Amino acid sequence: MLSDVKTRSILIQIVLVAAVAAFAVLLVHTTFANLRARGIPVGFDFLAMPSRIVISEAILTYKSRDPYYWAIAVGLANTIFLSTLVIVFSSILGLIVGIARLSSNPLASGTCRVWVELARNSPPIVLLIFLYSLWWKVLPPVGEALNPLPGVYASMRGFVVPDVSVNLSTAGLLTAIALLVLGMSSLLVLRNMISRLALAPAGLFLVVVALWVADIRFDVEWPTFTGSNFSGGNELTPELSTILIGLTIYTTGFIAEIVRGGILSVGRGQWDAGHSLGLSRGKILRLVVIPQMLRVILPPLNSQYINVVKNSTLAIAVGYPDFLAVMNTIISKSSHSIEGVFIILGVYLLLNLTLSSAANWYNRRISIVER
Amino acid sequence: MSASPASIPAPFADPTIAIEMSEMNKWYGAFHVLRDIDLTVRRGERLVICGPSGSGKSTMIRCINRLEEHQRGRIVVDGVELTNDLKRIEEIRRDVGMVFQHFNLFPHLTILENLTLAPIWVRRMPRREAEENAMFYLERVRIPDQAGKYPGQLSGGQQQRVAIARSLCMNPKIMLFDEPTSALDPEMVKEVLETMVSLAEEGMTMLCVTHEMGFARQVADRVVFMDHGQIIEEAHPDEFFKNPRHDRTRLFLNQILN
Ligand SMILES: Nc1ncnc2c1ncn2[C@@H]1O[C@H](COP(=O)(O)OP(=O)(O)OP(=O)(O)O)[C@@H](O)[C@H]1O
Ligand SMILES: [Mg+2]
Repeated sequence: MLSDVKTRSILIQIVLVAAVAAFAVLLVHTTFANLRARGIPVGFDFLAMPSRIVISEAILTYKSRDPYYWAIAVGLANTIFLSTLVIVFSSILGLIVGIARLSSNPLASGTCRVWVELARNSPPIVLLIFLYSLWWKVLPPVGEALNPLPGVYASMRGFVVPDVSVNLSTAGLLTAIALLVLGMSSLLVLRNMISRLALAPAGLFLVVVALWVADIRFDVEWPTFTGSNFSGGNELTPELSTILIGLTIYTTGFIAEIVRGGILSVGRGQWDAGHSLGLSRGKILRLVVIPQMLRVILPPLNSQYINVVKNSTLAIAVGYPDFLAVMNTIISKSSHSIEGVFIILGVYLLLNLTLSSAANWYNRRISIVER
Repeated sequence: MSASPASIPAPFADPTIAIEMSEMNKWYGAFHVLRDIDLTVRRGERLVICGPSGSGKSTMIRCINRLEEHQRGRIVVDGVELTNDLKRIEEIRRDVGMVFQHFNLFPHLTILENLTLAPIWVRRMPRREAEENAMFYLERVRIPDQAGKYPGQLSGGQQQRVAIARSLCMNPKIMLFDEPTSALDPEMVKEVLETMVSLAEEGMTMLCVTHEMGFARQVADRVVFMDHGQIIEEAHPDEFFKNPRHDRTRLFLNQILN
């Protein structure tokens, strides 16, 4: 039986996994036993105790009498919030910069090239510290806040942007969803009969009607300037703004290069074929090149997304309380360092495995059928 | 098609002329690829273009739908002169089909989607109509059963027939072929040539770069021989094969017929 290749390889794997697991258990057990022997408390019980640590800003609500586990959740939420925004912004900007880099306009391609080179050749922490120092050097005090866009203010104290909140009732929402599903499915049935030109306006019309029926209102609260302070609106602190802008600039440089390589990987023959059919450059890009490019760039893109999650720990350099910063505080306050490190490793592993498996799933879905 | 604003005023445009090139020159940097090309193609005419490798055959027919830009002289296609005006170029490209040596199908789309892409996005045809149209042409090239497959799942000969059908779906007035059979295994050449012969029999204006001399004898109204970026000789195939006038033509024919 042991000569069967398949059985043997499975057996070997089982033995290997068991050995690794046993070693890990031994390691943890010995460590904990040693710590206990020295009278240092171990275990995860401390998580339920009030933390009494300060978290300077959070997107979840947090008070210092909340337990440790909630403090951890708040830090994690900050990290996810920050990483998601950076991933979304740098993907959009990276696509634009990557395409513009191949433009025949020397100003556009030159500017993008400078961006890419700066981002790729500077250590991210230098970029962050530089940007952070700019807040106090370049931006005016609150009293003379800049107002670059309507409703957007910039000063030493950070950005203030309009606050958008959604206002809706359950009944209205349900009616609207029913209407949308009905309308969209009938459009789906009809899509073969009507021109693509009519499809988009019809869909848009449906959405507008649904919004109207549901009586969904987007309440925009504009910040008002009272001479020394702002009332209303959303404040983005200099810390959050710096890490957000810094990581976005940095990551965009890498994504732009990936996009450029992806576009170049689609052969000239595809452009020739598109042109010979009368398609415009933009349509060839959108319908032919970008769909093929996505397959090529997905794996390197995913490692950039993982880098974003890892680089978000640089938040500590500008004092934004991300997950790692919060965990640091917790460790020094509670002296449960081993447990803390386990939590840190586990969380980053989980975040990045989630990203990878999402990318793998998408990759399988879009892969090209070959003979 | 009605006369568009981009057309040359009616008195100057001869409606029986499909393509007119006069003193057309092209350079790649300092390299002079095409020298004083003068060529007129009437509607319904079938031209076969041959010549040694690197003589500029591909470059010349790619100038006709402006996949390449010429630097001097004139090219008038379907009564419209090719200039830098992008709108005119796209207008001409809609009416000029092209088949490539390496098929250039869109690998991420099914055969049916390959055929309906341009009619939907360029001609603004409703999807159902575009699909019916596509199935009609797939039947013409005798592979309607492959509609749901991807290009990578087809043989070379089938892919090239799909590429021909994809061009035909735009209902072109002129078809350009750039060595359509030279990337194919010998047993697949025939099926593609048959498709091209049937197209020729329907009166399509065709310019075909090929070294398939049997095809040239069977369908060509004229054979054009190029060398070093120049048109050396053009003649009816009977004349061309029996009495080539130039030494270079004779040398070339000797090489490929043996
Ligand atoms: N993009 C380019 N840049 C520079 N030179 C080029 C380019 N494309 C083609 N050439 C040159 O122009 C000449 C003509 O090329 P072309 O492809 O038109 O030849 P051809 O007659 O089609 O040859 P073949 O039978 O090998 O396809 C060749 O010498 C080639 O090296
Ligand atoms: Mg060629």
